[in-house]
Amino acid sequence: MMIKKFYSSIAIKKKNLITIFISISIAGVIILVGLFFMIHKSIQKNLNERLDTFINVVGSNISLFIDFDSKEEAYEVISSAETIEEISAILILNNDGEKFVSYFRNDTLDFEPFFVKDKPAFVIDDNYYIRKDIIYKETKIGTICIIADTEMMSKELNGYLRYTLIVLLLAALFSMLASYKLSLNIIKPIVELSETVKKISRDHNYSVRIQKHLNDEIGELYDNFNKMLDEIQQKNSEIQRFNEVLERKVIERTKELESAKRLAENTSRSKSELLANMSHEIRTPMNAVLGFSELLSNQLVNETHKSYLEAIITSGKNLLVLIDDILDLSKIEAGRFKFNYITTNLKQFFNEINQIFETKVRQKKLNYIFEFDETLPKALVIDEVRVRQVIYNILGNAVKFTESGYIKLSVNKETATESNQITLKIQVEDTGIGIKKSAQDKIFEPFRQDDELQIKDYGGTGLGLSISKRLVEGMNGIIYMTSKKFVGTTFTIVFKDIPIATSDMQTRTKLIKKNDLDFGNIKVLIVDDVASNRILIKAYFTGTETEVIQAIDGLDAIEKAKEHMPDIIFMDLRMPRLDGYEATKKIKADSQLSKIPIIALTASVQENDDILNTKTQFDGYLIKPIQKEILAAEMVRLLGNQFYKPIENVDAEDEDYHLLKDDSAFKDIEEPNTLLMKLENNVCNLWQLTKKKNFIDDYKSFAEIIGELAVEHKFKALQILSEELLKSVNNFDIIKINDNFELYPLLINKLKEILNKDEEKTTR
Amino acid sequence: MKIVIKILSILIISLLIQSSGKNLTQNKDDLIAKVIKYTRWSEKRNTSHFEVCVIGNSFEYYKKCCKNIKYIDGRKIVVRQIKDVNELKSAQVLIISESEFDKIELIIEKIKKKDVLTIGEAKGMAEKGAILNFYSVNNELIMEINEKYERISKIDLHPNLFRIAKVI
Repeated sequence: MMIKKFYSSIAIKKKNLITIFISISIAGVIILVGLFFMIHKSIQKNLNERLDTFINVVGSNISLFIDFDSKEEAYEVISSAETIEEISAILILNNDGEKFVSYFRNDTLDFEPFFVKDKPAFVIDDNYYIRKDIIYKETKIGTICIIADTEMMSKELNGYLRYTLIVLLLAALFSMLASYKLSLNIIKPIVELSETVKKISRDHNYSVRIQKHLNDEIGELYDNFNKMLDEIQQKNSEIQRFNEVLERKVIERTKELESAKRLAENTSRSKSELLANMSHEIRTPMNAVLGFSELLSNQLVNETHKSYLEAIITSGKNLLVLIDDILDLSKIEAGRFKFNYITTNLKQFFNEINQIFETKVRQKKLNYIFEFDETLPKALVIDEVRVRQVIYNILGNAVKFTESGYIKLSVNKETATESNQITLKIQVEDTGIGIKKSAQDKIFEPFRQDDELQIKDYGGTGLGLSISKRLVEGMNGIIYMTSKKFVGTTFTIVFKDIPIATSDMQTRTKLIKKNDLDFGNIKVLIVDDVASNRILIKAYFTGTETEVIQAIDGLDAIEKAKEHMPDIIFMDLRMPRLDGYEATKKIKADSQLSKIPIIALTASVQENDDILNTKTQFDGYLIKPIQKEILAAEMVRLLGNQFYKPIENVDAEDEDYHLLKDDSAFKDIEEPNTLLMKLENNVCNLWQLTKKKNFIDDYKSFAEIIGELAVEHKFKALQILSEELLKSVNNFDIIKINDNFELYPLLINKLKEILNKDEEKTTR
Repeated sequence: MKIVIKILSILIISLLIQSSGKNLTQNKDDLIAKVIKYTRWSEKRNTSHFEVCVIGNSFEYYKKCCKNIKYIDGRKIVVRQIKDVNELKSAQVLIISESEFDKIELIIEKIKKKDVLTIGEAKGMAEKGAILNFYSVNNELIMEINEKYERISKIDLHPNLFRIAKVI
């Protein structure tokens, strides 16, 4: 592994040298070993041949001496071995195997092995023992035994090997030099090529070409490399051209996209403005339409005409609900919906819900089951208005779609990740008509209802669940449902990681509650092109020292402001000639008027956001219909409370009581008998119908209708009731809705009492 | 190489060999058999036997001796007595008995150029032309070779015989 790593990291030149060296070394060793064996064999063969020849010669010469027992002559014959260096000793045995004659070059040698071993040839201690019979004319005469010294053979072998080694070393050296030279011829161009590539890579200059020196494969490589560079350069040029075209196109497309974006933004703004206009332009006349329809209803005797009028009223109400829902949805989807998290007593919160729904459920002869986990914390930080809106919607649907069985509301907790938080789980279960499987996925989409249901059978805009889902998700929650057709439906709402309030105090904001806006001797300028709106606000200051000045549009407002120097201005936004925005801009630009606080009056949720979000110069805003205590609070905020002495710590029961006990609120009513007739007939019927249906939108409509009548007849008590009811409806405060709603018949009785007393006085 | 070594060996051996004659300790009959072994006749006889003729009175002795030998060169030895050299025919060896000492020159003269090994058995017979001569002196057997007649005849004696015999 190490070797491989080292080999991969070294230069080709070194690599080549190492490879050549190793290759030649291995080849040399192989050749040397091969040669050793070959030479060894050859030398041995040669020795054998020489010995063989000697034996034959000696044999043919000595046989006669053996036969004739002539040892002296025989010795002389074998002594001729002196000339052959390798022969150390010779022993001649006669035919009986007895020693006949012997010859020694080296006296230390012994012929004993010949008598021990039976082999014709063998080697002992570098001595080569060879034995052969002496034959003459096919007759064995005797035996010749020769001991040959292999030292000479070794020397000869060593000599050959030394020579071979030298030759090999020289050959290796020559091969290495030749290979090195050859490798240089290969490597040098490669290095040159590498340097060129580096240069091109560094400078991104593809016009560089490598100079060709050879016409071999390297030269071909250079040619191909240069060709490749040609192609790259060509491609680069094409890419550059393409990029330029692309860049131009991107710029064009960006411009188009920006233009499209601007168009989309304008469209979105137009949509928002359209929604705002819808809110403002539809709601205001619809209030009048509904109000006057109610009044007209009293005067109609023809039942057919009455039914027509009823249809107008119902459709009008549905239209208003639809507008509110659309605006809510639009605001949520635009991410501009703001949640108001406050500490809420959980038990009290659900008790209030139970109170209103128990009645409704009982009316349909259903069972209402409420399960509350007593281990839940006393108070949690939630947006109780929006949570109530969601639960009210789900429970309302449950009541609407359940004809028998029960409706169950259960509240449980799940462990949250933080110790000071919980996960709140609210479930609404019913045994209603259920929702078929195919419709379940779409039930939370806007304007989606179960296809098999006829809206006219059950009513609703189809936006309730959609708004609920968005509200829940906006409050870090999830909502889901399970349902089985004709068995029932269960909606589950899970709010994750809700903070547990350290105090269980009810921190519901207590607004200033007072029947009269007594700010003392100040001047108020009311700017609105709709007279009824001006009259309504003016009515709030009736009986006080406050001077109310009215202006019909922006231009009139500027003039009146300069003329009267008011302490505060209430400015409607949408007016002919000059709107509220422009008028405010001009007033704020006037050094004399600039200090006057200006409160915007808006009928549109969209406009509220515009007022808050844009750099307008309004000091505050009020949403129509204007509620007295909110108006008072806003005035206290802007003017200080030096003029205003609010009655502190007045709870709802005290307030209601005060309303009925406060005779001044029942004074100065215009056309009281007419009003009483309206209130006792049509409005009373509406009250009963609203109570029976128990839908929050109906309560709102009812509050708006009595508000219109109160303004028309300058009936303060009715005006206060309308405002309280509207406020509780807007806050989804079901207890207060009930309380205020139940005040209506008491208020009529009180009015009747007062009118009777007045009549009695007049008769007297 | 092989041939050179062979020639050198022969030369060396030849130089070492001196024609100094030698007293032999072996029996005469054995010696004759061994001499025949180291003798080469130029003509190949197409007979199945090896014929040894004896001229003179020692026929019985040699007949007896040759009973022990029986075969030479793979051929059966046949010992035949002749009275006249003309009876020689296909014989390869002619033993001239001591009794024929006086006639030896005549005998030799007739067959000296033939392919016949002539063997004498008395001192002086070699000088008279017998190629080989065996005789005893003080119980020692002496072998003589007449080199001249050996060359004249068509037979070849082994060179080493000259080494151990007395060359005349």
